[in-house]
Amino acid sequence: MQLRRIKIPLLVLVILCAVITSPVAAYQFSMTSSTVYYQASTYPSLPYATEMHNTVSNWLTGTPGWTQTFYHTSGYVDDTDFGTTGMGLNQAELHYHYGHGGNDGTHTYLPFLNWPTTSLYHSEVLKKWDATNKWVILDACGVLTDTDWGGALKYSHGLLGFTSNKTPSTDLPDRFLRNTIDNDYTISYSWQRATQATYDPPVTARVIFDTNDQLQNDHLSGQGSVAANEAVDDNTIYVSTWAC
Amino acid sequence: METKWILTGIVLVCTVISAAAIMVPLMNTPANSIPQGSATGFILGTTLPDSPATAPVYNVVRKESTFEGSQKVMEVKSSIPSEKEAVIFAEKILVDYGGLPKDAVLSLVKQVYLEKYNLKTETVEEQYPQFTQVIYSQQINGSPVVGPGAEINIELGENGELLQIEKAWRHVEYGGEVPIISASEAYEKLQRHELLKIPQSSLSGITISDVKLGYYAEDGEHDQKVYSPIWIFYSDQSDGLPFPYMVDAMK
Repeated sequence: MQLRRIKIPLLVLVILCAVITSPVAAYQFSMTSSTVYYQASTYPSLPYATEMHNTVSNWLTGTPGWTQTFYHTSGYVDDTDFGTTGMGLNQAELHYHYGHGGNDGTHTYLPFLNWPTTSLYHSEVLKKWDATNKWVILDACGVLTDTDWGGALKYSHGLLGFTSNKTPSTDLPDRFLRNTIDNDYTISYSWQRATQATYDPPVTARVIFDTNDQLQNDHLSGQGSVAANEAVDDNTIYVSTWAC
Repeated sequence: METKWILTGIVLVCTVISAAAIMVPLMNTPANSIPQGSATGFILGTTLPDSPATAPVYNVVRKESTFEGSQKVMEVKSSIPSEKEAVIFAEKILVDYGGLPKDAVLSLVKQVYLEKYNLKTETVEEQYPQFTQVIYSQQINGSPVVGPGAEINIELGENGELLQIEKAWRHVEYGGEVPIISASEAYEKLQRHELLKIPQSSLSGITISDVKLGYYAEDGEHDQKVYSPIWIFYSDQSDGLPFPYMVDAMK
């Protein structure tokens, strides 16, 4: 009877220890690659779709706590992946999009397989990024020329991308994630270092953050501090742009 | 009956005026104002340069790869150097980093500000200084070298403090001549999207403003042994320097 009394609390303790010390899927990432287009004369196919995903996935799934929520390619990429209906990238801390970027003269957009029928404009995601999502990377030409994309950041923190043309490189996500994970650099500085090491001056990169505190202090989840969400959602954003 | 004739007359006069409004401007358009190339592809907005039968290749004899910097570069500073001051600071700093290579040219000086932007009013409400960039690129005997492996990027803070320096430079020597395709052959390859690297943007309606024979330098981590000639088709961008569309020039 006395032995049983000791055994039960011991068992509870062992289970608790096992739960606490086991790696928990605390952080999620998602990815979209739009590399094939029906209008190939305007948007030719892009290389490295698989390699880009492998690079992002290897870094993050190789880091304790990270799991992938979804990875959609070309024909399977659509507006809902970007949280237009509330889900999509809103389920993940980090979203990486690789593809072409477009500009209609007034606004920029992300073209998808069946462009011009399918594409994503900033107005479709206005104040839609919140909940779990913290950072969205738009690895595409010139999309962040249009600062209106910053309007998507409701309680999400930051957007990383480009304001010029650029070419595909797996070195970009590799360097960015190495900076955030191995070097524990902030998100914004990791992007600055990665873009400058990968490209030269005709390429200009940009970060857009909801607050200056986030721009200066956000680290990748699990690698350091993450600044607080904006207290009250307002209409101001913080933008920094540099030559690569 | 009279009204019917008047109405018919009005319709006829309107038709003649409308047709004239459309046709006259078309008839007055000079034949040579039609852009070369398709509006759905590249548009040649300049004349193609003379094409030599051969061009030099250059062998890489030494590579310099230096990086020093910290996250401080992103912080807000009380002041940053003017563009003029920044170049003087950069030249002094470079003395401690092997000096300015003889084939280096100043390609960009830029003050970087963190902007507080109001999405509703579409105005920059405040600007905070971050750093001033001074960037040098490589030119070999007047031919530009594009790519991340031929660049010196210096970022300066208050009173010219060095915040970050990245030097990726290959020292080269003449390695002989190779036969090359002409600029017009290269332009045909451009139209067929036979590019060294495909940009992640639309390839429709792009106006080429300049064409040069040059070289491409991979980033410093790659073991590039030779600079081979490429044709570079430049297109102006709304933000920053012209973007190079690169075509292999080797025959």
